Amino acid sequence: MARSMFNATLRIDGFALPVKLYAAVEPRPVGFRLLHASDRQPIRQRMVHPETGEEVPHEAVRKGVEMPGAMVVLRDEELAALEPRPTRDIEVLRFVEPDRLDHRWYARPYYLGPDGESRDHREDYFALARALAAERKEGIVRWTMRKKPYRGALRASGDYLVLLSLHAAAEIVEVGALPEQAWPDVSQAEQTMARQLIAMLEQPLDLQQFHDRYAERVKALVEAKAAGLVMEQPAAAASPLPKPTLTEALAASIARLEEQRVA
Amino acid sequence: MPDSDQQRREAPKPFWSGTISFGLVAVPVDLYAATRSDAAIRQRTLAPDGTALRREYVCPEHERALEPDEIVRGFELDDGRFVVVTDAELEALAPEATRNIDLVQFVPCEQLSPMLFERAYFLLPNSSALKPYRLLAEVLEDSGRAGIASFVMRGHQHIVAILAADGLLRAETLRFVSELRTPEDIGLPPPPELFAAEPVERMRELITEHVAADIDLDELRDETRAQTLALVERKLARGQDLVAPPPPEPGGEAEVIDLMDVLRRSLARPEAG
Repeated sequence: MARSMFNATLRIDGFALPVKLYAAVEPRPVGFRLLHASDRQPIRQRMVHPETGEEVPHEAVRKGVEMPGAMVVLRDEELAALEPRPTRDIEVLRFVEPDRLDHRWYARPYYLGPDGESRDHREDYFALARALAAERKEGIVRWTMRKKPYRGALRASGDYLVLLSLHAAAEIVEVGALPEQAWPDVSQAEQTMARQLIAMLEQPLDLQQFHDRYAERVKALVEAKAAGLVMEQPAAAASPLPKPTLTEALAASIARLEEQRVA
Repeated sequence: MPDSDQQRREAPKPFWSGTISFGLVAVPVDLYAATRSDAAIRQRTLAPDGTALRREYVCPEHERALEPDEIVRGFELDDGRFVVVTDAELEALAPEATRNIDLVQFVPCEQLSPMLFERAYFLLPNSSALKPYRLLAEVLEDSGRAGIASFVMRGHQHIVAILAADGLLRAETLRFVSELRTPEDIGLPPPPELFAAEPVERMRELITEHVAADIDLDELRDETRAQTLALVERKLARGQDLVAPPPPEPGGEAEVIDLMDVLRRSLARPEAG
């Protein structure tokens, strides 16, 4: 049973629901450590003064923000004043259609679990998840955690509530920031063939088939080295680049898929 | 505030290029990050006298800072031993670096839960052959489909969804299934066998009462960031608590030290205890 990261209260206007927040992403096992080559001792990091070489202990460290031409040092009382007011409220500001936030916004997923104390709370929790799914809406949410402000989207995932933290508006690269393109027209025939090809490749979503093969190979290499064996390196596959015209490529792709179906 | 913010936002640059293929159609593309870490607020760790600190890597046995070529990568075994793995060995393991994103399946976009979303990218055409790009973007956007592929970027394997919006192709790397916890993994209680209609109805009404037509970007700003930026700009304008920024190159060191002497006198903060 995972330990809750944070005990909070979900609020929608006057409605309040005690909840617990859990990370939804399994922390990746730390792959490696940095070692001193000669004695294989795990190294330690430290922050030193560039002139004296002296280590500055954590308590004595100051914070500054680098600006053009100067470093602005922040005083302890200023840093304290910048911290958001501590609160355990997860506040829903509005509900919107799920297409209002495009994929760029989403950062990290969390599960909200019912705070198991009262049966009413548990009933409200599962009712809210079911209602959110039925209404097909997403809640825009704000909360504070670890002295930082968070923004998020509240959604239903199966029978449960999930909270997806969002990037800040300033962190989203706008389409307008990208170089302009002069787009050519695409013919009806080409569109039709492309649609047909995509329809033929349509399948139910299956992500189970994808494994992090690289991570598996690294693990195998490590185990082989530990056992004193020598690994055979996998040969890189050569992949010829196709050079037909767009229409030829579309037609040939469709034909090839059709042949595979018949076979 | 918005002006200085915009100035600090440089035009994004492509950092990787490859080829999307579906069937035999090839679409050469450049990848651009679609999110940026907060470049405006570059917080630094400083010594009490305001000098930017330097990070050092130290061997606890030999009690000294190490040069980069003295540092190796080690994987820790269960028995506490370390197995050293070199960059060359890892590169040799890197899956077929063909720079191909081969779209093997297409799914409706709604089937992709945002819980899977890891990182977002824009894709722009990387050749004068704009037609295949335009075709793929139009068809994906009109049909609301995403193409799924496995690909290699910078020596790491990723699952990626290729979709289109605003006439542009986007990529979103997806988490591996093994990385996402399930409610059972976490130990959440199972839902009730029977659902009473009344609580669900009550919740649906609550939701409906608070539906808005669109998001409000003001609700999606990081207030701490805005306040920090405002404070820093005020202090910069007043010349308050300023020290020289760390030198970008070793060449200008002498000048920087003189400037630091001058600026230290204007540092009004009382000495640390």
